[in-house]
Amino acid sequence: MNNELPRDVFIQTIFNLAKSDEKIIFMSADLGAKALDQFRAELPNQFIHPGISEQSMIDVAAGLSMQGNKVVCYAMAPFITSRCLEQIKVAIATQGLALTLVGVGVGYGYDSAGPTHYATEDIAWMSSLVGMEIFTPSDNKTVEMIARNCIENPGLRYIRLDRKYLPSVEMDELFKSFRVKNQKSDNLIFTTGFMTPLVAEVISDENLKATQIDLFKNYPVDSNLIDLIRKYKKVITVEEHFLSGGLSSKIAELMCDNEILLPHLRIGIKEKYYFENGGREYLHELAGLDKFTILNRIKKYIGQ
Amino acid sequence: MNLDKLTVEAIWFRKEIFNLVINAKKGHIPSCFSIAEFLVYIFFNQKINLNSKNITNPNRDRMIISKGHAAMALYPIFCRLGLIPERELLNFCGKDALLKLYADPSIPGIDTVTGSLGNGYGIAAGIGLDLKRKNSSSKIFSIVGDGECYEGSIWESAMFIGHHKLTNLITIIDRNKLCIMGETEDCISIEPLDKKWEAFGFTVFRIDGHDFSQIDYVFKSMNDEKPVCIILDTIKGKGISYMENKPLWHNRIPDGEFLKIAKNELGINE
Repeated sequence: MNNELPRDVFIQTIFNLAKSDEKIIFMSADLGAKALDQFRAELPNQFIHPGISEQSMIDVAAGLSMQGNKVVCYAMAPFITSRCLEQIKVAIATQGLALTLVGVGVGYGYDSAGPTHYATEDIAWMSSLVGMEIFTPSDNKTVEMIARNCIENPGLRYIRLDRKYLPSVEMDELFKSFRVKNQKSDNLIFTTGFMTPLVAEVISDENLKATQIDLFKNYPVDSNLIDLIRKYKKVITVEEHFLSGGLSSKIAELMCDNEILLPHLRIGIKEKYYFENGGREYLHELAGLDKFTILNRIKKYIGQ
Repeated sequence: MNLDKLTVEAIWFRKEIFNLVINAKKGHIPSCFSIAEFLVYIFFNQKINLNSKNITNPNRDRMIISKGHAAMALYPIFCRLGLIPERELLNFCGKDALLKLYADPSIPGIDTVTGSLGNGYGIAAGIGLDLKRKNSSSKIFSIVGDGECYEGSIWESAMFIGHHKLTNLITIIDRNKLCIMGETEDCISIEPLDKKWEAFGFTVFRIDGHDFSQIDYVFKSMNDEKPVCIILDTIKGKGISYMENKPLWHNRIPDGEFLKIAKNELGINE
Protein backbone atom coordinates (compact mmCIF):
# COMPACT_ATOMS: atom_id res chain seq x y z
CA MET A 1 0.00 0.00 0.00
CA ASN A 2 2.93 2.32 -0.64
CA ASN A 3 1.75 5.80 -1.55
CA GLU A 4 -1.48 4.40 -2.90
CA LEU A 5 -4.42 6.77 -3.12
CA PRO A 6 -7.03 6.19 -0.42
CA ARG A 7 -9.69 5.65 -3.09
CA ASP A 8 -7.67 2.87 -4.72
CA VAL A 9 -7.22 1.14 -1.37
CA PHE A 10 -10.94 1.45 -0.65
CA ILE A 11 -12.04 0.18 -4.06
CA GLN A 12 -9.46 -2.63 -4.09
CA THR A 13 -10.81 -3.86 -0.76
CA ILE A 14 -14.40 -3.76 -2.06
CA PHE A 15 -13.28 -5.47 -5.28
CA ASN A 16 -11.64 -8.34 -3.41
CA LEU A 17 -14.84 -8.94 -1.46
CA ALA A 18 -17.08 -8.45 -4.52
CA LYS A 19 -15.36 -11.26 -6.41
CA SER A 20 -17.08 -13.77 -4.17
CA ASP A 21 -20.24 -11.79 -3.40
CA GLU A 22 -22.36 -10.78 -6.35
CA LYS A 23 -24.64 -8.75 -4.10
CA ILE A 24 -21.92 -6.12 -3.89
CA ILE A 25 -22.67 -3.37 -6.41
CA PHE A 26 -20.43 -0.36 -7.01
CA MET A 27 -21.92 2.82 -8.48
CA SER A 28 -19.77 5.73 -9.59
CA ALA A 29 -21.24 9.05 -10.68
CA ASP A 30 -18.37 9.50 -13.12
CA LEU A 31 -15.46 9.56 -10.70
CA GLY A 32 -12.68 7.21 -11.71
CA ALA A 33 -9.81 5.44 -9.96
CA LYS A 34 -7.10 3.04 -11.03
CA ALA A 35 -8.65 0.28 -8.92
CA LEU A 36 -12.05 1.02 -10.41
CA ASP A 37 -10.76 0.28 -13.91
CA GLN A 38 -10.01 -3.24 -12.77
CA PHE A 39 -13.36 -3.53 -10.98
CA ARG A 40 -15.22 -2.49 -14.14
CA ALA A 41 -13.23 -4.81 -16.35
CA GLU A 42 -13.47 -7.90 -14.17
CA LEU A 43 -16.89 -7.44 -12.56
CA PRO A 44 -18.91 -5.56 -15.19
CA ASN A 45 -22.21 -6.85 -13.83
CA GLN A 46 -21.47 -5.39 -10.42
CA PHE A 47 -20.49 -1.95 -11.65
CA ILE A 48 -23.04 0.72 -12.56
CA HIS A 49 -22.29 4.11 -14.08
CA PRO A 50 -25.52 6.06 -13.53
CA GLY A 51 -24.26 9.12 -15.39
CA ILE A 52 -23.42 12.32 -13.58
CA SER A 53 -26.78 11.92 -11.85
CA GLU A 54 -26.16 11.75 -8.13
CA GLN A 55 -29.82 12.16 -7.19
CA SER A 56 -31.06 9.32 -9.33
CA MET A 57 -28.02 7.25 -8.31
CA ILE A 58 -29.12 7.39 -4.66
CA ASP A 59 -32.75 6.55 -5.52
CA VAL A 60 -31.65 3.60 -7.66
CA ALA A 61 -29.26 2.54 -4.89
CA ALA A 62 -32.21 2.60 -2.47
CA GLY A 63 -34.13 0.20 -4.70
CA LEU A 64 -31.10 -2.07 -5.01
CA SER A 65 -30.49 -1.94 -1.26
CA MET A 66 -34.13 -2.82 -0.53
CA GLN A 67 -33.63 -5.90 -2.65
CA GLY A 68 -30.77 -7.01 -0.43
CA ASN A 69 -27.77 -5.75 -2.39
CA LYS A 70 -24.72 -4.22 -0.73
CA VAL A 71 -24.36 -0.95 -2.59
CA VAL A 72 -21.44 1.49 -2.62
CA CYS A 73 -22.06 4.93 -4.17
CA TYR A 74 -18.96 6.89 -5.10
CA ALA A 75 -18.38 10.46 -6.26
CA MET A 76 -16.52 13.64 -5.34
CA ALA A 77 -17.37 14.53 -1.76
CA PRO A 78 -19.60 17.59 -2.34
CA PHE A 79 -21.62 15.81 -5.00
CA ILE A 80 -22.29 12.63 -3.02
CA THR A 81 -23.50 14.72 -0.05
CA SER A 82 -25.24 18.06 -0.53
CA ARG A 83 -26.11 17.44 -4.19
CA CYS A 84 -28.28 14.47 -3.20
CA LEU A 85 -28.92 15.16 0.49
CA GLU A 86 -32.68 14.97 -0.08
CA GLN A 87 -32.39 11.55 -1.71
CA ILE A 88 -30.13 10.21 1.05
CA LYS A 89 -32.61 11.42 3.65
CA VAL A 90 -35.84 10.31 1.98
CA ALA A 91 -34.92 7.19 0.04
CA ILE A 92 -32.26 5.81 2.39
CA ALA A 93 -32.31 7.23 5.92
CA THR A 94 -36.08 7.36 6.53
CA GLN A 95 -36.34 3.74 5.43
CA GLY A 96 -33.38 2.53 7.48
CA LEU A 97 -31.63 1.16 4.39
CA ALA A 98 -27.98 0.17 4.23
CA LEU A 99 -25.76 2.13 1.85
CA THR A 100 -22.09 3.08 1.72
CA LEU A 101 -21.43 6.58 0.42
CA VAL A 102 -17.84 7.33 -0.50
CA GLY A 103 -16.82 10.94 -1.01
CA VAL A 104 -13.40 11.76 -2.44
CA GLY A 105 -11.50 15.00 -1.98
CA VAL A 106 -12.73 16.11 1.42
CA GLY A 107 -11.69 19.45 2.84
CA TYR A 108 -9.70 21.39 0.26
CA GLY A 109 -8.66 18.19 -1.53
CA TYR A 110 -9.61 19.56 -4.95
CA ASP A 111 -7.49 22.64 -4.33
CA SER A 112 -7.78 25.32 -7.01
CA ALA A 113 -11.26 24.08 -7.93
CA GLY A 114 -13.04 26.47 -5.58
CA PRO A 115 -15.96 26.13 -3.20
CA THR A 116 -18.02 24.02 -5.62
CA HIS A 117 -15.51 21.19 -5.16
CA TYR A 118 -14.52 21.66 -1.53
CA ALA A 119 -16.15 19.56 1.16
CA THR A 120 -15.88 21.64 4.30
CA GLU A 121 -19.49 21.32 5.48
CA ASP A 122 -20.20 17.68 4.73
CA ILE A 123 -19.86 16.33 8.30
CA ALA A 124 -22.55 18.82 9.36
CA TRP A 125 -24.87 17.83 6.54
CA MET A 126 -24.46 14.11 6.85
CA SER A 127 -24.57 13.93 10.63
CA SER A 128 -28.07 15.43 10.52
CA LEU A 129 -29.35 12.25 8.89
CA VAL A 130 -30.73 9.63 11.26
CA GLY A 131 -28.59 6.49 11.41
CA MET A 132 -25.62 7.94 9.53
CA GLU A 133 -22.10 6.97 10.54
CA ILE A 134 -19.27 9.18 9.30
CA PHE A 135 -15.64 8.12 8.90
CA THR A 136 -12.56 10.10 7.86
CA PRO A 137 -9.54 7.79 7.68
CA SER A 138 -6.10 9.34 7.93
CA ASP A 139 -4.12 6.46 6.46
CA ASN A 140 -4.55 3.55 4.10
CA LYS A 141 -4.60 0.91 6.80
CA THR A 142 -7.65 2.57 8.29
CA VAL A 143 -9.19 2.97 4.83
CA GLU A 144 -8.98 -0.77 4.31
CA MET A 145 -10.42 -1.54 7.73
CA ILE A 146 -13.37 0.80 7.13
CA ALA A 147 -14.04 -0.54 3.62
CA ARG A 148 -14.14 -4.09 4.92
CA ASN A 149 -16.53 -3.09 7.70
CA CYS A 150 -18.90 -1.44 5.20
CA ILE A 151 -19.43 -4.77 3.47
CA GLU A 152 -19.25 -7.09 6.45
CA ASN A 153 -21.62 -5.04 8.64
CA PRO A 154 -24.01 -3.30 6.26
CA GLY A 155 -25.29 0.06 7.50
CA LEU A 156 -25.67 3.67 6.44
CA ARG A 157 -22.21 5.18 6.22
CA TYR A 158 -20.44 8.13 4.70
CA ILE A 159 -16.73 7.61 4.14
CA ARG A 160 -14.68 10.76 3.64
CA LEU A 161 -11.55 10.03 1.64
CA ASP A 162 -8.67 12.37 1.02
CA ARG A 163 -7.86 13.02 -2.61
CA LYS A 164 -4.16 12.44 -2.02
CA TYR A 165 -2.07 9.79 -0.36
CA LEU A 166 -1.67 10.51 3.35
CA PRO A 167 1.48 9.40 5.18
CA SER A 168 0.68 6.96 7.94
CA VAL A 169 1.21 8.13 11.51
CA GLU A 170 2.30 5.43 13.92
CA MET A 171 0.10 5.47 16.98
CA ASP A 172 0.24 3.61 20.28
CA GLU A 173 -3.23 2.15 20.46
CA LEU A 174 -6.01 1.33 18.03
CA PHE A 175 -9.61 1.32 19.27
CA LYS A 176 -12.81 0.69 17.36
CA SER A 177 -13.25 4.27 16.22
CA PHE A 178 -10.06 6.12 17.09
CA ARG A 179 -6.30 5.79 17.54
CA VAL A 180 -4.27 7.30 20.38
CA LYS A 181 -0.70 8.56 20.42
CA ASN A 182 1.27 9.38 23.59
CA GLN A 183 -1.28 9.03 26.35
CA LYS A 184 0.62 10.80 29.14
CA SER A 185 -0.07 14.54 29.06
CA ASP A 186 -2.63 17.11 30.22
CA ASN A 187 -3.63 18.17 26.74
CA LEU A 188 -5.75 16.18 24.34
CA ILE A 189 -5.75 17.00 20.64
CA PHE A 190 -8.40 15.52 18.33
CA THR A 191 -7.63 15.34 14.64
CA THR A 192 -9.11 13.56 11.66
CA GLY A 193 -8.10 12.82 8.06
CA PHE A 194 -5.58 15.19 6.50
CA MET A 195 -4.98 17.00 9.79
CA THR A 196 -3.78 13.84 11.56
CA PRO A 197 -0.31 13.57 9.92
CA LEU A 198 0.02 17.36 9.83
CA VAL A 199 -0.66 17.81 13.55
CA ALA A 200 1.44 14.73 14.42
CA GLU A 201 4.36 16.43 12.70
CA VAL A 202 3.74 19.68 14.57
CA ILE A 203 3.63 17.82 17.90
CA SER A 204 6.83 15.84 17.28
CA ASP A 205 8.80 18.69 15.67
CA GLU A 206 8.12 21.02 18.56
CA ASN A 207 7.96 18.36 21.24
CA LEU A 208 4.55 19.56 22.38
CA LYS A 209 3.23 18.02 25.56
CA ALA A 210 0.05 16.66 24.05
CA THR A 211 -1.83 13.44 23.41
CA GLN A 212 -3.22 13.03 19.92
CA ILE A 213 -6.36 11.16 19.02
CA ASP A 214 -6.97 10.34 15.38
CA LEU A 215 -10.78 10.21 15.46
CA PHE A 216 -11.43 8.31 12.25
CA LYS A 217 -15.04 7.66 13.19
CA ASN A 218 -16.30 11.22 13.36
CA TYR A 219 -19.92 10.46 14.10
CA PRO A 220 -21.54 9.25 16.27
CA VAL A 221 -18.62 9.90 18.58
CA ASP A 222 -17.51 6.82 20.52
CA SER A 223 -18.84 6.98 24.10
CA ASN A 224 -15.59 5.36 25.28
CA LEU A 225 -14.05 8.80 24.82
CA ILE A 226 -16.03 10.18 27.76
CA ASP A 227 -13.82 8.61 30.41
CA LEU A 228 -10.72 9.20 28.38
CA ILE A 229 -11.36 12.95 27.96
CA ARG A 230 -11.93 13.30 31.72
CA LYS A 231 -8.25 12.46 32.28
CA TYR A 232 -7.14 15.67 30.56
CA LYS A 233 -7.13 19.37 31.44
CA LYS A 234 -7.49 20.91 28.02
CA VAL A 235 -9.06 19.78 24.76
CA ILE A 236 -8.11 20.91 21.27
CA THR A 237 -9.73 19.97 17.98
CA VAL A 238 -8.10 20.52 14.59
CA GLU A 239 -10.12 19.95 11.42
CA GLU A 240 -10.23 20.90 7.76
CA HIS A 241 -13.96 21.59 8.05
CA PHE A 242 -16.17 24.51 9.00
CA LEU A 243 -16.25 25.03 12.76
CA SER A 244 -20.03 24.66 12.72
CA GLY A 245 -21.16 21.05 12.72
CA GLY A 246 -17.81 19.37 12.26
CA LEU A 247 -15.39 17.50 14.50
CA SER A 248 -15.18 20.30 17.08
CA SER A 249 -18.96 20.45 17.35
CA LYS A 250 -19.20 16.72 17.87
CA ILE A 251 -16.58 16.75 20.65
CA ALA A 252 -18.17 19.82 22.25
CA GLU A 253 -21.56 18.07 22.23
CA LEU A 254 -20.07 14.96 23.81
CA MET A 255 -18.48 17.02 26.58
CA CYS A 256 -21.61 19.11 27.11
CA ASP A 257 -23.90 16.09 27.34
CA ASN A 258 -21.58 14.43 29.85
CA GLU A 259 -20.84 17.47 31.98
CA ILE A 260 -17.17 17.53 31.08
CA LEU A 261 -16.34 21.16 31.72
CA LEU A 262 -12.95 21.45 30.04
CA PRO A 263 -11.48 24.35 28.09
CA HIS A 264 -11.77 23.56 24.37
CA LEU A 265 -9.76 25.23 21.59
CA ARG A 266 -11.43 24.77 18.21
CA ILE A 267 -9.12 25.07 15.23
CA GLY A 268 -10.99 24.80 11.95
CA ILE A 269 -12.32 26.88 9.10
CA LYS A 270 -14.26 29.97 10.00
CA GLU A 271 -17.16 29.83 7.57
CA LYS A 272 -16.03 31.32 4.30
CA TYR A 273 -15.97 30.35 0.60
CA TYR A 274 -12.47 30.57 -0.85
CA PHE A 275 -12.12 31.16 -4.58
CA GLU A 276 -8.38 31.82 -4.36
CA ASN A 277 -5.96 29.56 -6.22
CA GLY A 278 -2.49 28.66 -5.01
CA GLY A 279 -2.83 25.14 -3.68
CA ARG A 280 -4.02 23.42 -0.51
CA GLU A 281 -1.21 24.79 1.66
CA TYR A 282 -2.05 28.31 0.60
CA LEU A 283 -5.75 27.74 1.33
CA HIS A 284 -4.71 26.49 4.76
CA GLU A 285 -2.75 29.70 5.28
CA LEU A 286 -5.80 31.75 4.32
CA ALA A 287 -8.04 29.72 6.61
CA GLY A 288 -5.56 29.60 9.51
CA LEU A 289 -4.94 25.88 9.17
CA ASP A 290 -1.29 26.00 8.19
CA LYS A 291 1.32 24.34 10.41
CA PHE A 292 2.70 27.62 11.72
CA THR A 293 -0.68 28.99 12.83
CA ILE A 294 -1.76 25.65 14.29
CA LEU A 295 1.49 25.34 16.23
CA ASN A 296 1.30 28.86 17.64
CA ARG A 297 -2.32 28.54 18.67
CA ILE A 298 -1.72 25.21 20.42
CA LYS A 299 1.47 26.42 22.12
CA LYS A 300 -0.25 29.50 23.46
CA TYR A 301 -3.25 27.50 24.60
CA ILE A 302 -1.33 24.87 26.51
CA GLY A 303 1.18 27.40 27.80
CA GLN A 304 4.24 25.81 26.32
CA MET B 1 -62.18 -7.04 -19.88
CA ASN B 2 -65.65 -6.61 -18.41
CA LEU B 3 -66.39 -2.95 -19.03
CA ASP B 4 -69.53 -2.87 -16.89
CA LYS B 5 -67.72 -4.43 -13.95
CA LEU B 6 -64.83 -1.97 -14.18
CA THR B 7 -67.19 0.97 -14.45
CA VAL B 8 -68.89 -0.17 -11.25
CA GLU B 9 -65.49 -0.59 -9.55
CA ALA B 10 -64.45 2.94 -10.53
CA ILE B 11 -67.61 4.29 -8.88
CA TRP B 12 -66.81 2.20 -5.81
CA PHE B 13 -63.21 3.50 -5.76
CA ARG B 14 -64.24 7.16 -5.89
CA LYS B 15 -66.74 6.66 -3.09
CA GLU B 16 -64.14 4.95 -0.94
CA ILE B 17 -61.54 7.68 -1.44
CA PHE B 18 -64.10 10.38 -0.84
CA ASN B 19 -65.30 8.78 2.41
CA LEU B 20 -61.71 8.26 3.53
CA VAL B 21 -60.91 11.94 3.10
CA ILE B 22 -64.17 13.31 4.47
CA ASN B 23 -63.83 11.13 7.55
CA ALA B 24 -60.22 12.18 8.26
CA LYS B 25 -60.58 15.73 6.93
CA LYS B 26 -57.26 15.12 5.24
CA GLY B 27 -56.14 13.79 1.88
CA HIS B 28 -55.91 14.46 -1.82
CA ILE B 29 -59.15 13.64 -3.61
CA PRO B 30 -58.45 15.09 -7.11
CA SER B 31 -55.04 13.40 -7.47
CA CYS B 32 -56.57 10.02 -6.62
CA PHE B 33 -59.58 10.53 -8.89
CA SER B 34 -57.43 11.22 -11.95
CA ILE B 35 -55.84 7.74 -11.71
CA ALA B 36 -59.07 5.95 -10.70
CA GLU B 37 -59.69 4.13 -13.98
CA PHE B 38 -56.07 3.04 -14.37
CA LEU B 39 -55.86 1.61 -10.84
CA VAL B 40 -59.23 -0.09 -11.14
CA TYR B 41 -58.20 -1.56 -14.50
CA ILE B 42 -54.95 -3.12 -13.33
CA PHE B 43 -56.15 -4.28 -9.91
CA PHE B 44 -59.59 -5.56 -10.86
CA ASN B 45 -58.72 -6.82 -14.31
CA GLN B 46 -55.86 -9.00 -13.07
CA LYS B 47 -53.05 -7.04 -14.67
CA ILE B 48 -50.97 -6.86 -11.51
CA ASN B 49 -49.86 -9.89 -9.55
CA LEU B 50 -50.15 -8.46 -6.06
CA ASN B 51 -52.43 -9.89 -3.40
CA SER B 52 -52.56 -11.08 0.18
CA LYS B 53 -51.22 -14.53 -0.76
CA ASN B 54 -48.06 -13.39 -2.55
CA ILE B 55 -47.24 -10.24 -0.58
CA THR B 56 -44.05 -11.73 0.90
CA ASN B 57 -42.99 -13.31 -2.40
CA PRO B 58 -40.05 -11.37 -3.90
CA ASN B 59 -41.36 -12.20 -7.35
CA ARG B 60 -44.73 -10.51 -6.92
CA ASP B 61 -45.52 -7.35 -8.86
CA ARG B 62 -45.16 -3.91 -7.33
CA MET B 63 -47.07 -0.65 -7.54
CA ILE B 64 -45.04 2.41 -6.65
CA ILE B 65 -47.03 5.63 -6.79
CA SER B 66 -44.18 8.10 -7.02
CA LYS B 67 -46.58 11.05 -6.77
CA GLY B 68 -46.80 10.22 -3.09
CA HIS B 69 -49.76 12.43 -2.27
CA ALA B 70 -51.88 9.96 -4.27
CA ALA B 71 -50.41 6.77 -2.78
CA MET B 72 -53.42 6.81 -0.45
CA ALA B 73 -55.42 5.75 -3.52
CA LEU B 74 -54.13 2.24 -2.84
CA TYR B 75 -55.64 1.99 0.65
CA PRO B 76 -59.20 0.96 -0.28
CA ILE B 77 -57.85 -1.31 -3.01
CA PHE B 78 -55.44 -3.00 -0.61
CA CYS B 79 -58.34 -3.53 1.79
CA ARG B 80 -60.28 -5.26 -0.96
CA LEU B 81 -57.25 -7.45 -1.66
CA GLY B 82 -57.07 -8.41 2.00
CA LEU B 83 -53.71 -6.72 2.58
CA ILE B 84 -55.10 -4.23 5.06
CA PRO B 85 -57.89 -4.80 7.61
CA GLU B 86 -61.05 -2.90 6.65
CA ARG B 87 -61.26 -1.11 10.02
CA GLU B 88 -57.99 0.70 9.25
CA LEU B 89 -59.79 2.81 6.63
CA LEU B 90 -61.80 4.51 9.36
CA ASN B 91 -58.61 5.34 11.21
CA PHE B 92 -56.88 7.01 8.21
CA CYS B 93 -54.59 9.82 9.47
CA GLY B 94 -55.57 9.09 13.07
CA LYS B 95 -53.24 8.78 16.03
CA ASP B 96 -50.71 6.02 15.29
CA ALA B 97 -52.86 4.88 12.37
CA LEU B 98 -51.52 2.30 9.97
CA LEU B 99 -52.81 4.35 7.04
CA LYS B 100 -51.04 7.67 6.98
CA LEU B 101 -51.54 10.71 4.77
CA TYR B 102 -48.38 9.69 2.91
CA ALA B 103 -47.79 5.98 2.52
CA ASP B 104 -44.74 4.17 3.85
CA PRO B 105 -43.54 0.55 3.91
CA SER B 106 -45.12 -0.15 7.31
CA ILE B 107 -48.30 -0.56 5.23
CA PRO B 108 -48.57 -4.01 3.61
CA GLY B 109 -48.18 -3.65 -0.16
CA ILE B 110 -46.36 -0.32 0.01
CA ASP B 111 -42.74 -0.79 -1.01
CA THR B 112 -41.22 2.60 -0.37
CA VAL B 113 -41.60 5.99 1.22
CA THR B 114 -42.76 8.55 -1.32
CA GLY B 115 -44.08 12.07 -0.75
CA SER B 116 -40.95 13.90 -1.78
CA LEU B 117 -41.51 14.12 -5.53
CA GLY B 118 -39.03 12.61 -7.95
CA ASN B 119 -37.73 9.81 -5.75
CA GLY B 120 -40.19 6.91 -5.90
CA TYR B 121 -39.56 6.53 -9.62
CA GLY B 122 -35.78 6.14 -9.17
CA ILE B 123 -36.34 3.65 -6.35
CA ALA B 124 -38.62 1.71 -8.72
CA ALA B 125 -35.73 1.73 -11.21
CA GLY B 126 -33.38 0.24 -8.61
CA ILE B 127 -35.85 -2.51 -7.79
CA GLY B 128 -36.43 -3.06 -11.50
CA LEU B 129 -32.71 -3.41 -12.20
CA ASP B 130 -32.32 -5.91 -9.37
CA LEU B 131 -35.26 -8.01 -10.57
CA LYS B 132 -33.94 -7.96 -14.12
CA ARG B 133 -30.54 -9.17 -12.88
CA LYS B 134 -32.33 -12.01 -11.11
CA ASN B 135 -34.35 -12.87 -14.24
CA SER B 136 -37.53 -12.37 -12.26
CA SER B 137 -40.79 -12.13 -14.19
CA SER B 138 -42.10 -9.60 -11.71
CA LYS B 139 -43.33 -6.25 -13.01
CA ILE B 140 -43.23 -2.80 -11.42
CA PHE B 141 -45.81 -0.16 -12.17
CA SER B 142 -44.73 3.33 -11.24
CA ILE B 143 -47.16 6.22 -11.46
CA VAL B 144 -45.49 9.59 -11.88
CA GLY B 145 -47.36 12.88 -11.70
CA ASP B 146 -47.09 15.33 -14.57
CA GLY B 147 -46.11 18.03 -12.09
CA GLU B 148 -43.56 15.57 -10.74
CA CYS B 149 -41.93 15.64 -14.17
CA TYR B 150 -40.55 19.05 -13.21
CA GLU B 151 -38.12 17.23 -10.91
CA GLY B 152 -34.77 16.67 -12.57
CA SER B 153 -34.36 13.32 -10.85
CA ILE B 154 -37.32 11.97 -12.88
CA TRP B 155 -35.38 12.52 -16.08
CA GLU B 156 -32.16 11.21 -14.56
CA SER B 157 -34.04 8.02 -13.73
CA ALA B 158 -35.80 7.94 -17.11
CA MET B 159 -32.38 8.02 -18.77
CA PHE B 160 -31.27 5.17 -16.51
CA ILE B 161 -34.37 3.05 -17.24
CA GLY B 162 -34.07 3.71 -20.97
CA HIS B 163 -30.38 2.84 -21.04
CA HIS B 164 -30.79 -0.37 -19.03
CA LYS B 165 -33.93 -1.28 -21.01
CA LEU B 166 -35.88 -2.02 -17.84
CA THR B 167 -38.91 -3.42 -19.64
CA ASN B 168 -40.15 -4.88 -16.35
CA LEU B 169 -40.88 -1.33 -15.20
CA ILE B 170 -44.00 0.29 -16.64
CA THR B 171 -44.04 4.05 -16.32
CA ILE B 172 -47.41 5.75 -16.03
CA ILE B 173 -47.67 9.52 -16.28
CA ASP B 174 -50.78 11.05 -14.79
CA ARG B 175 -51.15 13.98 -17.17
CA ASN B 176 -53.88 15.80 -15.25
CA LYS B 177 -52.39 19.10 -16.37
CA LEU B 178 -52.39 20.76 -12.97
CA CYS B 179 -49.87 21.53 -10.33
CA ILE B 180 -50.87 23.22 -7.09
CA MET B 181 -50.65 26.77 -8.41
CA GLY B 182 -52.20 26.33 -11.82
CA GLU B 183 -51.87 24.66 -15.19
CA THR B 184 -48.47 23.24 -16.01
CA GLU B 185 -48.43 24.88 -19.41
CA ASP B 186 -48.89 28.28 -17.76
CA CYS B 187 -46.24 27.63 -15.07
CA ILE B 188 -43.41 25.99 -17.01
CA SER B 189 -44.47 24.07 -20.07
CA ILE B 190 -43.73 20.33 -19.90
CA GLU B 191 -45.12 19.37 -23.30
CA PRO B 192 -44.55 17.59 -25.59
CA LEU B 193 -44.40 14.86 -22.96
CA ASP B 194 -44.80 11.98 -25.43
CA LYS B 195 -41.85 13.13 -27.54
CA LYS B 196 -39.73 13.63 -24.43
CA TRP B 197 -40.34 10.10 -23.15
CA GLU B 198 -39.79 8.68 -26.64
CA ALA B 199 -36.47 10.52 -26.78
CA PHE B 200 -35.48 8.87 -23.50
CA GLY B 201 -35.88 5.43 -25.06
CA PHE B 202 -39.46 4.52 -24.21
CA THR B 203 -42.33 3.16 -26.24
CA VAL B 204 -44.96 5.74 -25.48
CA PHE B 205 -48.73 5.30 -25.47
CA ARG B 206 -50.80 8.42 -24.97
CA ILE B 207 -54.42 7.74 -24.14
CA ASP B 208 -57.52 9.02 -22.39
CA GLY B 209 -56.78 7.84 -18.86
CA HIS B 210 -60.47 7.55 -18.02
CA ASP B 211 -61.31 5.26 -20.96
CA PHE B 212 -61.05 1.58 -20.02
CA SER B 213 -61.02 0.42 -23.63
CA GLN B 214 -58.00 2.61 -24.41
CA ILE B 215 -56.17 1.34 -21.31
CA ASP B 216 -57.04 -2.19 -22.38
CA TYR B 217 -55.71 -1.50 -25.87
CA VAL B 218 -52.35 -0.41 -24.39
CA PHE B 219 -52.03 -3.56 -22.32
CA LYS B 220 -52.77 -5.66 -25.39
CA SER B 221 -50.21 -3.74 -27.48
CA MET B 222 -47.28 -3.62 -25.04
CA ASN B 223 -44.15 -5.60 -25.82
CA ASP B 224 -40.68 -6.00 -24.37
CA GLU B 225 -38.68 -4.18 -27.02
CA LYS B 226 -38.33 -1.01 -25.00
CA PRO B 227 -39.56 0.20 -21.61
CA VAL B 228 -43.15 1.37 -21.82
CA CYS B 229 -44.44 4.78 -20.78
CA ILE B 230 -48.20 5.25 -20.68
CA ILE B 231 -49.24 8.88 -20.62
CA LEU B 232 -52.74 9.08 -19.22
CA ASP B 233 -54.51 12.25 -20.26
CA THR B 234 -56.71 12.72 -17.25
CA ILE B 235 -58.88 15.20 -15.45
CA LYS B 236 -57.76 16.09 -11.96
CA GLY B 237 -60.76 15.63 -9.69
CA LYS B 238 -62.71 13.67 -12.33
CA GLY B 239 -66.07 12.68 -10.88
CA ILE B 240 -66.86 15.76 -8.81
CA SER B 241 -67.87 18.56 -11.17
CA TYR B 242 -66.62 21.54 -9.18
CA MET B 243 -63.26 19.88 -8.51
CA GLU B 244 -62.50 18.98 -12.09
CA ASN B 245 -59.53 20.95 -13.43
CA LYS B 246 -59.54 23.24 -10.39
CA PRO B 247 -56.10 23.48 -8.75
CA LEU B 248 -57.60 24.98 -5.61
CA TRP B 249 -59.09 21.60 -4.62
CA HIS B 250 -55.70 19.82 -4.53
CA ASN B 251 -55.91 19.27 -0.77
CA ARG B 252 -59.10 21.07 0.17
CA ILE B 253 -61.80 19.18 2.02
CA PRO B 254 -65.37 19.83 0.84
CA ASP B 255 -67.98 20.82 3.42
CA GLY B 256 -71.45 22.35 3.48
CA GLU B 257 -73.00 22.67 0.06
CA PHE B 258 -69.85 21.30 -1.62
CA LEU B 259 -70.15 18.13 0.43
CA LYS B 260 -73.77 17.65 -0.60
CA ILE B 261 -73.06 18.17 -4.28
CA ALA B 262 -70.12 15.75 -4.21
CA LYS B 263 -72.10 13.04 -2.44
CA ASN B 264 -74.90 13.46 -4.91
CA GLU B 265 -72.56 13.22 -7.89
CA LEU B 266 -70.73 10.21 -6.49
CA GLY B 267 -73.96 8.48 -5.53
CA ILE B 268 -73.23 8.41 -1.82
CA ASN B 269 -76.40 8.14 0.22
CA GLU B 270 -76.76 10.30 3.32
